[in-house]
Amino acid sequence: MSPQIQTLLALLVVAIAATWLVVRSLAKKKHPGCGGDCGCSNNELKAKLKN
Amino acid sequence: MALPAHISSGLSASPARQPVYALVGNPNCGKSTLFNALTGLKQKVGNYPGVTVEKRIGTAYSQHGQPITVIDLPGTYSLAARSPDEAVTRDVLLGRRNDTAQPDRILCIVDATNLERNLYLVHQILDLGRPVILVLNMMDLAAQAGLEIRIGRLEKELGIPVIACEAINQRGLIELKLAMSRADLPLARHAWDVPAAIAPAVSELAASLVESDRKAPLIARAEALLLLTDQDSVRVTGSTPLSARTTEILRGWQARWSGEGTDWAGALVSSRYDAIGLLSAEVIRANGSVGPSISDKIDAIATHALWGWLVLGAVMTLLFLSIFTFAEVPMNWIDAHIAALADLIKNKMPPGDLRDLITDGAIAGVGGVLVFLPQILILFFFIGLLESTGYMARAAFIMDRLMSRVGLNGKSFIPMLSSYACAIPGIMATRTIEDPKDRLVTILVAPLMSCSARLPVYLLMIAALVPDGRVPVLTKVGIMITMYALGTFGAFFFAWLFKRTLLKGAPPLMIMELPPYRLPGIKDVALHMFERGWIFVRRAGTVILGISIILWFLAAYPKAPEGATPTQQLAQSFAGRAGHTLEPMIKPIGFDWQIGIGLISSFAAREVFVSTMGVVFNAEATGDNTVPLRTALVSAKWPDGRALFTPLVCITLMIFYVFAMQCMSTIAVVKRETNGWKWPIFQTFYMTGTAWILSFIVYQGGRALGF
Repeated sequence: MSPQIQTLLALLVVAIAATWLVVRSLAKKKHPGCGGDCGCSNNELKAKLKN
Repeated sequence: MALPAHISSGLSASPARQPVYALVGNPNCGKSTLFNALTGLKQKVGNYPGVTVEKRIGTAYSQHGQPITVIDLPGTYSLAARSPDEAVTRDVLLGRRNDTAQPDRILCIVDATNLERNLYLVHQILDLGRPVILVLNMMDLAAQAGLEIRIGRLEKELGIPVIACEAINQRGLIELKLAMSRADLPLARHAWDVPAAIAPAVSELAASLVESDRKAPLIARAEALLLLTDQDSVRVTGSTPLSARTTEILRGWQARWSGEGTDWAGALVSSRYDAIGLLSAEVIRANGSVGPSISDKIDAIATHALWGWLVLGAVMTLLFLSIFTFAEVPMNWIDAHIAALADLIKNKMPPGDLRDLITDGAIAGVGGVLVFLPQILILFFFIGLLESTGYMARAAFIMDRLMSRVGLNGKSFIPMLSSYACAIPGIMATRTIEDPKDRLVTILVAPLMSCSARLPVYLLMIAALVPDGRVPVLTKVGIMITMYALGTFGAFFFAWLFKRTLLKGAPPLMIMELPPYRLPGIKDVALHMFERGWIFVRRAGTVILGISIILWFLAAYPKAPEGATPTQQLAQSFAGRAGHTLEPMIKPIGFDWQIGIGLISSFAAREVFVSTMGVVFNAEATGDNTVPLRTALVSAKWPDGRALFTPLVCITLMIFYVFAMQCMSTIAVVKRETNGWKWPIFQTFYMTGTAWILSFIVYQGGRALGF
C-alpha cells in the first residue's frame, strides 16, 4: 500500500472518528449520564431544588 | 371477595394487560435481590441502605409462563417521604406519577429479623386498599436470631397472603410466583382503627378527595391519612395540587386541633404503633434468651472508636496490596501482547500514516488503558465483597464521626462511597439526602473521591516513579492510600468550608441502619465486577479509541518538513501547539507541553491522560519496536536534558489529578442534578484551582527541599 493511499485512508478514519464523537456527544440519550446503574433524571427533584 | 374493575381487568386472561406489581419495603430488606431473582435482571444490589434511588421495571413469569410486570421501588420506612427517592415510592403507589401507571397489586417485602419495625410501612400499604402479598425475607437470619414468626397467624390478622422467603438463596420463589399469579388475591383491609377524635377529619378529607380531586375511593383514605401526618406531602405534590375545597378542609381541621392543643399527627402515628405492637406480640416469638448476635460481636471491634479505624486501615491496605500483587501477571501479559500486536503490524505493513494511526494511535491509546483492566476488576471485586458482607455500612459509621464534624450528612457516605467507583452514580445517589443544602454540598465534594478513572493515572505515575520500575510494593500501596486519603480528606475539608460559608445549615443527624453481616453473594459480586469491567473495556473500545484516533491526527498534523525528528514533528503539530500554549500555566507545577496535551485531552475523561501519553510518547519513539509506556515516560526529557518524569513530578501529577475536575460527564450530571450551570462551573473552578495551587506548593516545596 503506497504512502499516499495510507494517508488518504488514515484521514478517512480520522474523519469518521471525529464525526462519530460529535454525533455521540450531541445525541439525546434515553438515560443521560446514568453511568450504567444509577437511575435517571428526576423532574420532581429539579422542581424541589428550584424551590 | 369481588375485585374492583380496574384490578380484575388487569388479572383477566387478556393478553394485552399484564398484572403490575410494585415491590416496596424498608431500605436494605432485599427488594433488589428479590427483583433480580423474579425478573432475571441484574440490578445492582448491596448490603446497605440506599442502593436503589429510582424505580426499575422488569418482567417476571409465573409458573405457567404468564408475564407479570414488577416495579422495584426505592426503599422507604414510611409513605411520609423525606427524600426525593422516597417520594418516588410514595408517588408511584399513590398514582401521582405521569410516567408510571399505578400498580394493580403490591408486593410488600419485609426483613423478618426486624418485623415489628417493618410493619409500620406494611400498615400504610394496607391502607391503600389494594391486593397485597407480604414477603417475609431473610427468614434464615430470623431463625438464627432465635425468632419464630407465626405466618398463619399473621395471614389471618392481616387478611393477605404471607410468603416466607430467602431471596438471596432463591428460596420461597415458587410459592411467591404462585401467589403472584393468583387471580383471586384478596383486597387488603385496614389493619387498624383511626383514633376517634381524628376519624371525622379522615372521612371528610377522603370524601373531598374523591369528589373534588377525582381520587379513587380506595386511595382517598390513604391520601387523607398522609395529608394529616405528612406535611411535606402537601408541598411536594406540586404538579397535582390539592383542590381549594380539600385544602380548606385540611386547614380547617388543623386550625381546630391547633386551637385545642391536639397533636393529631402524633396521635395517628402512636395509634398505628399501638396496633403494630399488639400484632407483633401475637405473631413473633423469641425463643430462649437472645444474647449478642455474631454481627454484634463483630461490630464491637469493627465500629470501635479505635479498633474500627485500624480495621478500616487494614481493609484498605489489603485492597490495594491485592491490586498491586494479583494484577501484575495479567497486566504484564496484556502489555506484552499489545506490544507484540503493534510490532506485528509495524513489521507487516509498509511505513505510512495508516500504519502509524493503527500502532501509535489506536493500539497505543487503547492498549495503554486496557492494561489496567486486571486492577479495575480487582478493585470492584473488593468493593463488591465489602458491600455484600455489610462492612461498607460499618465504614460509613466510622467515617460519620469525621463527616458529622465537618457538617456532612450521614447519608452523604453512600454517594461518596459510590464516587470511588465513579462520581456519576455517586452524584445520583445524593437523591437519598433530604436537605437540599446537604445534598448540594455532597454533590460538590463527591468528585474529589478518587474514582476508578483516576486509577490508571496513579498506577502509571507510580510505575514511572523509579527509573528501573522496581518500586517496593508497600511503597506503592502507601502512595495509593495517600492519594485516596487526600481526595477523601479534601472532600471533608471542602464540605466543612461550604457548610460554613456558601451553604450554611443546621448540623445534620446521622440515622443509618447497620445491616447484619452476611456471607458475600459471590454471584452478585462477580456480576458487578464484570459489569464494571465491561463498562471499562467498552469505553476503551469506543470513546477512548475515538479520542486516540483524533489525538494521533492532532499529533501527526500538520506535517513537519522532511528530515524533522519525531520531537520536532510533535512540537509543531496541532496538539504540540496546544500544549505549548498551555505550558506557561503548568510549567510552575513541573509539567511541560507534552503533559499539557494530556491535561487538555483528559477533560473528556481522566483515563484519557494515559492513552494520550501513549500516543504522544509513542509518536516520539524512534525505531520499529514499540516501547512500554512506563519506559517511554522514564526516558522522556526536557529540552535541556533533565528527566521530565522525576519522582517529584509524578507525585505532583497525581495530586493534580486527585483534585482537578477532569471529567465532562460529571459536569453534565451536576448540571442536570442542580438544574443549572452555576454549580458545575463553580465546582470546576474550585477543584481545578485547588489542584493547581496544591501542585504548585508540592512541586516548588519539593524543589526547595532538593527533590
